[in-house]
Amino acid sequence: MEPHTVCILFVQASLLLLVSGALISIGSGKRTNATVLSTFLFAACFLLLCGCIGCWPDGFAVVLLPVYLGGLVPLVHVGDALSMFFLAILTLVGMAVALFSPAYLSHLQGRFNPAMYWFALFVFIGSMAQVFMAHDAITFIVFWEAMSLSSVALVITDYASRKAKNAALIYLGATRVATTLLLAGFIWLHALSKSWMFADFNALGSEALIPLALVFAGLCIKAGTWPFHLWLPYAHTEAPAPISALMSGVMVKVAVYGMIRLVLMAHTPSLILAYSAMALGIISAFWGIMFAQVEDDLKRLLAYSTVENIGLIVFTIGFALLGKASGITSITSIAIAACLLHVLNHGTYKPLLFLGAGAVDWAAHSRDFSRLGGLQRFMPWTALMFCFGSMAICALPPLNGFASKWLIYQGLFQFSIFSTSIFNRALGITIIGLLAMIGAMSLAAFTKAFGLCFLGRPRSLQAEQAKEMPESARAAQGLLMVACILISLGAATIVQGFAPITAGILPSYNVPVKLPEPQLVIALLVLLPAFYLVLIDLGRRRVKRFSTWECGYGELPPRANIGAASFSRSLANMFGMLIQHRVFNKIYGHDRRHFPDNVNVKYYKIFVVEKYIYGPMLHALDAVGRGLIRLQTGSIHIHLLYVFATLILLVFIGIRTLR
Amino acid sequence: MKLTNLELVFVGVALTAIMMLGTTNIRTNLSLYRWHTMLIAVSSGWIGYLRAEPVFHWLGIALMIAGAKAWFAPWFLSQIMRKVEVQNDSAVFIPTALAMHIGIALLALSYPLAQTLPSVLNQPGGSIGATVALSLISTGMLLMVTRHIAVSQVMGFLVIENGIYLISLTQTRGMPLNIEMGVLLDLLVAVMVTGLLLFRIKKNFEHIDVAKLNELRD
Amino acid sequence: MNIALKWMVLISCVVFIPPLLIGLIRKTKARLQGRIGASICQPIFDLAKLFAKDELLSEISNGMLRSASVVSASVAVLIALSSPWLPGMPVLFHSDIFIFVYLFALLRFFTVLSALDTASAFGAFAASREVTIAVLVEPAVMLCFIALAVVAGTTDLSAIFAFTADNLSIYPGLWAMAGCGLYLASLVELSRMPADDPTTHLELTMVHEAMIIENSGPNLALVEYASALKMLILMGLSGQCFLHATTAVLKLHHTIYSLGGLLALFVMVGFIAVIESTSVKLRWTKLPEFIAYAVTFGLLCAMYSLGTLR
Repeated sequence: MEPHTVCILFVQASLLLLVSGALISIGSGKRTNATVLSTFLFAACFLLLCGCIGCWPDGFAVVLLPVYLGGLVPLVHVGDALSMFFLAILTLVGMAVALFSPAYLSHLQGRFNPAMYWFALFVFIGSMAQVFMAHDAITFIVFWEAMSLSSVALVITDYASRKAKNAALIYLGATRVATTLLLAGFIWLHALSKSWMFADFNALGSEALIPLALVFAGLCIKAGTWPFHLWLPYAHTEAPAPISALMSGVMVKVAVYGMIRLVLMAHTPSLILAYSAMALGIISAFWGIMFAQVEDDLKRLLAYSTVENIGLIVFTIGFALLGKASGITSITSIAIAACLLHVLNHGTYKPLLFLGAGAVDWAAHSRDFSRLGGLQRFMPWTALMFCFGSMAICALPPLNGFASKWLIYQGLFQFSIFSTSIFNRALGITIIGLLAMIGAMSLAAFTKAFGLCFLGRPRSLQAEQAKEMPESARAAQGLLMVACILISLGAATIVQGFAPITAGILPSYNVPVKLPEPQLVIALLVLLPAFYLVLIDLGRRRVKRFSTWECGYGELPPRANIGAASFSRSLANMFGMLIQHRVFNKIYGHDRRHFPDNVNVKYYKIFVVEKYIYGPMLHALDAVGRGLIRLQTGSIHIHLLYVFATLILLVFIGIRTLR
Repeated sequence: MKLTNLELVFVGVALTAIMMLGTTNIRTNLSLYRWHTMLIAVSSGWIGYLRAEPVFHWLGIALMIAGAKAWFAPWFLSQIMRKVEVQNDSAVFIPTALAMHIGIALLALSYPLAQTLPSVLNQPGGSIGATVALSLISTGMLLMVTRHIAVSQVMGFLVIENGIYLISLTQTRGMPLNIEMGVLLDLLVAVMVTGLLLFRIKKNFEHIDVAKLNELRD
Repeated sequence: MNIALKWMVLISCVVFIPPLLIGLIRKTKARLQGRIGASICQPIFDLAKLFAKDELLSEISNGMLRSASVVSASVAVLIALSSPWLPGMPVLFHSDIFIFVYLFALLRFFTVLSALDTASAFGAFAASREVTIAVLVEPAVMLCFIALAVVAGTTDLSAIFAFTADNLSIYPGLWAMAGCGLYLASLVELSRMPADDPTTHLELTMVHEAMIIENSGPNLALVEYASALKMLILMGLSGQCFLHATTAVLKLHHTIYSLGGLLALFVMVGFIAVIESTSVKLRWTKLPEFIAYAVTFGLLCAMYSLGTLR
């Protein structure tokens, strides 16, 4: 059998494994065996990955048996280069999640329904895979809905928690709005092009601007772009850690896939969409990281950082669109390369960070920085991998995050040189400066995350009793870390390898800049050991241990360690108008100034977008609803009167039109 | 205006319906309804004869209306009323005299309204038939909206049904037999089901006053 | 001069000049204060002494402190060997602006983590201030460099600062403004007055000194060397900016450019000493206003560069 058929067989086998995994988890009810199910999931993802790698770059087409969906809809799953790229990311994260889940779930024992969790997980991964393989609107929407609903079910895994319920509700509302906009756009496009295939949507001209804008808005909501990003910190925080990893690493990329497929591959790019995508992207990048650096909950910090990275990705999509619209092909190539590479990078280091946060949650039973600390002593492997992930996400050379950031900078630089209008050039330079600021802010956020969790002294008893997670969980994080390292070593090759993906967007793909990664890595690999030897050998002296310097006051309590709010206080003051933090303090005691009995300090934030945009909108909706309730009197006679009055009104209208 | 005999029958139909508005005694209402439907049966047979339809058709329709709507439905309802032991609809939203006056005003209003309807052919009794039909619909609506107990709702529904039947009779060239039979069957079943339900409502709630349902609202 | 000789000169500069710069600053300050002061080579002797001493490590630290000093030193040497702070010298690889700025960020990452490692509140507050300063200083540096790059048409630092670039040599104003912006940003980045007092460890002045307070012995030697090397690189680059500005006005022979670069470096560093002797340290809340000067220079450079493009 030739390799191509074998790969298609792999793809079908993996889909079959996903379906059977879902059925087994539902069937086993209370007696779910987490190991068996995670093996199924791992095998399915692995087979899919092999199938994708084998079929690169020709693609595959899989026709599923009618019995798969009860013969309702004839589904053809087509995987072309773009689909296989995203499928590769999905399968990588899926494998890590499959390895991590059984160990992690042991700490949720008794508070969740394992059958529901595993069923929803299989449905989630399966529907995301099929969204990536969808080439027409109907398949896309069907599996998009399946993905949204199963992820809501996963967010509420810990069903007793009030915060989780609140988060799931907000998330559900956001997906409903997103799906409505998507459906509206798709139906309008269908009316314009008389078919449901994406290829026909792309062939439409400028009359498709408004429906395309609707679709784009729906995808922006699902991606978590400002100002629709509100649901992301809620949902990604309250979901269990492997699910947050999947959602941050892959689900927001599904929206990006939709944007590339529908907006970027359209034959007539529109400037309005390009500039609005760029504006929304850069604003969400700034907004996300600004809030991340002042957070005091580990997973919320990571969620806001996802908002930032998605903003960067949406920015690159807008940038590519701008390049396409103004005809400068070098910019388009660089922008697409940056977008795809950033999608790949974020899909590897963000799940790594979330799994690390899950390990912390498992070991110390808290996500709050004021209860963590000093975990490096008890969880050295997790600390190492989390440090690695933080370095990658801060775009520090020589890791993979730097490669995609570098491409974005280079693209903006080429834009500043080759554009013809002063406005565009000024825009390019300003955004470069803004991106430098965003990079520095992400450094602030992630040094805070790593430093306050893993370094220093444990701030609570539970942090002191933490221990390392079992090997399977560590292997999951290790898998992602190895992927990061491979990507950083082979970044230049990967960028050249994007050529088949861009076939639908550009006539010729040519990235004119070259990443200097190898020399950097080699130089560092030589220098680091050299200095280490200098440190331990030269002088041949001893190392004595003593307590940290404390001005001679004696051993300081663990609470004297810096807290999350103090670490970012200056930054919060700097952005005070947007962050709006409030401190409430009250001191009790007979002689309050000198001998306080009780000091009560509360530090909270008022979220500007939530309070001033969504708050009034929801209040208005509520008021309208309450006004409408008065119409519903509960008396049958009044309701009959409504019916008859409408009837008479219609008769009168009929008479008018007759005349 | 000069009214033909057929049109006089139609006017009789409208007047009996309006007289139903004027009394709250259930038995009187039911007997008025019987006369009202009998007149409709007669008029439908008459029109069928005037249009030279096959004998079987118009005679059959007239007999079925007479049997099902004029005899069976009121009889069934009166049996139910006997079991439920309700004689009077003691509560109404507006006084019965006023209701009757409003009914007559609506009849007057229906006349110009009916003139605007496109009469399909120069039908025998075309425009008067439409007037009466519209007034029957309004009368039925008035019955449903102003009376409290459930039986009145059923009767109002039956009167509206008659009005719709009249429109189909006078404004069209005639409905196929199947449709007319189907409609009659629907009506019969609806009346039987409602009657049985009334019985159960009385057993459960000790009354059949529909207006008290708004206690369920929160 | 052949390549091997140039490399030897470069490496010896990288090894010996940083402590000399520190010595120069202290000597200049001493003279301005009317003292004779220690010799210029004193910091070299200090470093040698530190390498011979024992190390006192906090019980709470788990290795991050020591790894951070190793990483600081290596990355600083890497930047020094790959950026054109001395004209006419070879580079290890052609670093462009973004690699340059982000290698500094790598340095900062590990320094901040080493400050957080020992659970010292003092060090942690210094770390907090360091990341806050970075948020403001990185855009300033980036804007200055990008303005130069846009006019030069390339992001390769060696190409921008090369003395053979024709299109850049006709803009002395741009070079001067970039030099000013870079100099002011470097003052903050290197924790010199008026951003931070390098001679005390008090709360008022805690940015750099408080971060490295837990280091001792060879650790401290590596960290001090790394920060001196940072000064070398940044002052070298800003000195070159002014050198380019002067050579645009008076044409000089190309062989004296290296010596001119060293001279500019020493002049810049001496000027730091003058600033330290004559100005006071700013209050922490006033520091963003000072950095705003650097950002303004950066924006001015950017606007200038926009106007020069055809």
